[in-house]
Amino acid sequence: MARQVDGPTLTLAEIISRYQGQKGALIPILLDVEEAYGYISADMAEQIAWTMRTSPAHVYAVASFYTRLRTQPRGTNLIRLCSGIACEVEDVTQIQRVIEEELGISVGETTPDDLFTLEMVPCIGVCGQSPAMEINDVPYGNLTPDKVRQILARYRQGET
Amino acid sequence: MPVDYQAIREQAVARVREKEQEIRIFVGFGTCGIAAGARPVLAALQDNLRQAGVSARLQTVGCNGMCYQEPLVDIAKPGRPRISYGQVTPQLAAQLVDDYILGDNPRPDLALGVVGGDGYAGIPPLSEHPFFRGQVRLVMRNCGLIDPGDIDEYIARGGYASLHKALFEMTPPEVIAEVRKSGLRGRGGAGYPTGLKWEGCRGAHGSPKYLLINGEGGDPGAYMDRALMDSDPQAIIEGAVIAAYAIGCEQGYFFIRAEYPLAIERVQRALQQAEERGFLGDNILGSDFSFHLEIKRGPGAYVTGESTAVQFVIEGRQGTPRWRPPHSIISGLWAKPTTLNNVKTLVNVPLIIERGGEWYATIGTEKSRGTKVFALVGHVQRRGLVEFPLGITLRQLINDVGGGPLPGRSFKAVQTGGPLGGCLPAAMLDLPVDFDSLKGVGSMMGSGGIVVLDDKSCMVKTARHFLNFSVDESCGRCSACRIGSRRLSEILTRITQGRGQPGDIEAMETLGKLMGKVALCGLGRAAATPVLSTLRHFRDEYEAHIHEKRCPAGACEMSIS
Ligand SMILES: Cc1cc2nc3c(=O)[nH]c(=O)nc-3n(C[C@H](O)[C@H](O)[C@H](O)COP(=O)(O)O)c2cc1C
Ligand code: FES
Repeated sequence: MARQVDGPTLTLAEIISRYQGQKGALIPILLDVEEAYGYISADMAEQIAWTMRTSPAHVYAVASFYTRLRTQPRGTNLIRLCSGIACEVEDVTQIQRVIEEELGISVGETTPDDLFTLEMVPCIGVCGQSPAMEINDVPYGNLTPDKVRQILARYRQGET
Repeated sequence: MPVDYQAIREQAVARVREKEQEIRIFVGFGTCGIAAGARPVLAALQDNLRQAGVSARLQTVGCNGMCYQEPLVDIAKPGRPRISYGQVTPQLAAQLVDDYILGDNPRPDLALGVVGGDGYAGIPPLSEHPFFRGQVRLVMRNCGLIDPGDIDEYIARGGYASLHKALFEMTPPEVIAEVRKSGLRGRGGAGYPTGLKWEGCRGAHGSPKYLLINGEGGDPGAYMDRALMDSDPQAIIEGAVIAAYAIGCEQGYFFIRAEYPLAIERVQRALQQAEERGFLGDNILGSDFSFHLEIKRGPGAYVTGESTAVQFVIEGRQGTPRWRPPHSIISGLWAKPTTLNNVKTLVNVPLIIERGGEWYATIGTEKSRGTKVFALVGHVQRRGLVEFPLGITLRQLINDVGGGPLPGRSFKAVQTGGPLGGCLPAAMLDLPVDFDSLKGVGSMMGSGGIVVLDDKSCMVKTARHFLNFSVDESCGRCSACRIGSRRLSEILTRITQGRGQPGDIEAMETLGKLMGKVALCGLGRAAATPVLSTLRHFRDEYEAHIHEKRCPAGACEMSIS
């Protein structure tokens, strides 16, 4: 996945041109922008709207409807902790508390050093390994407080 | 000119045979395997093999369903059976290299079983393991066995023979007739007869016609669709091409949640390989039938798994369901006749073509033919994905397959059917799991999620969990769902905080039933099911919370303070 550390790999114009002439291109464009930039800014929404002959409000409405699309910048490492039923019954709340304590933030927030953003999402599809989370799309299962602390430490030391 | 399938098959078999001349090590590398730590295990195997100077073929495979035993590693020496090992750590991996790759001790004490054959060296067949005993693996026939990145392995196991048969020995109406005969019903949850849907779409006016594959796999707790896409993408594609031929579609879209990057990568690769071999694209296998299939990423919202919402996402709009009729088979994607099928539904199709609808119909029950993949999670000893003929009882699944509750705990309830399903008590465990039986008692089979809850679980809190989910996931278009879910969630939250009031139960029942009648889509119509089913089967727990301000399971906020 493209990371902001090295700067986005594609410009907005390049992303848009990939889908030139295709029907239903708005969502793939937004997903690619999200992947390259980590979020969709108001400026970008406006540019996309302009090239696609639609209104920025429409682009924004579509973007804010979906969990994968963000309209706010996020930290280098995106933690997505599962709040699905299989994880809930394995006490994911305890794991949530550990992460919040370790990072000093609550769900939905980004650490002041921009290193981590924490989100809760319903089911990441590894329910046999609950409780589970993903960091930058890498899944981690069978979480315990100790295991979570070790994983976070690795990311603090620069793992991506 | 029809392409000679036998020749393709023989080449694939030859290539797979060549691999079998080497020592092969298979690492379970589905998303679940990776989550359990398969990456460091793979690295340890590589290091140890390199240090020892032995050449062996390390292969990544998908998930065989035995999630509680992940990371899984299988070893097959030339001329010896394939042996499976569970809960492999990097240390254990090094040990296995020493003992069985360098040495000749297959470590029966550590082995789970022998894959696909008789016992060996005191190791029993894996099929006799309590987790696998009695399973009938149709949909999961290749899962965990083959490398999802190598089409030869799929073909060598008979893959694409059914497509060849359908194209050159059957007319489209004959394919539909066979699927109708099989009694196959949609595996995405609603259970609509697949053959009937295809027939309706084939007969609908308008062209082009579209085929959509539903790989949203959205039900929390029911992760089989993701595992299937990770493990055997070719089987889904073969089923889709046969479906397209039967219906008369030239264009299809494979809808996969963007949150499933591994599935997207593997399906992408599989599409490319299928196209290279002529199973997809123009003039498939030399016939005059052409079909193109393209991935569309789902941007993440539970409701986008609903049939009309899938179409809106592909059209680039907000994924909000619409009122029906018109039905999608008449007017769907871009207002053209459209068939939507779940990935598991399609994986059944090649088998039905190969062995016949009559054979398929002998499996399962009268109204629910075939097998079903279940995701067995929660408070059981053995968690994972299993496949059984429809009609297996809840008790068999939970006790025989899952090994029952954890030591020192007892069974309380089983939640089935995903967030729109319900909770059932111990007295109902002998009910068969099929499309209809659980509906009679206020739950449903749905996509096959089975979440076991033990005595430390609070049923009011469980209902609240699901209602909060529906509040978050309601698309907001119809007020019954938007406001109804929120009201139910508020009442449930109050009750779990010790602020329940007389009349709450009745208010929730009235509201829940109303939502079932007037909501726009399946989400709103079933969002109250978790409340209604727990009120029906665990009413005393609600009463204890409301009247005695007490949580019998000791799990609610009020029991902590
Ligand atoms: C809110 C909602 C979410 C759904 N999510 C999914 C899903 O994730 N995957 C799926 O295959 N079907 C899902 N469905 C069912 C589909 O609407 C549809 O019935 C199914 O994909 C049709 O395929 P089938 O006939 O092969 O089952 C959902 C339905 C509703 C109401
Ligand atoms: S419920 Fe947590 S991964 Fe599915």
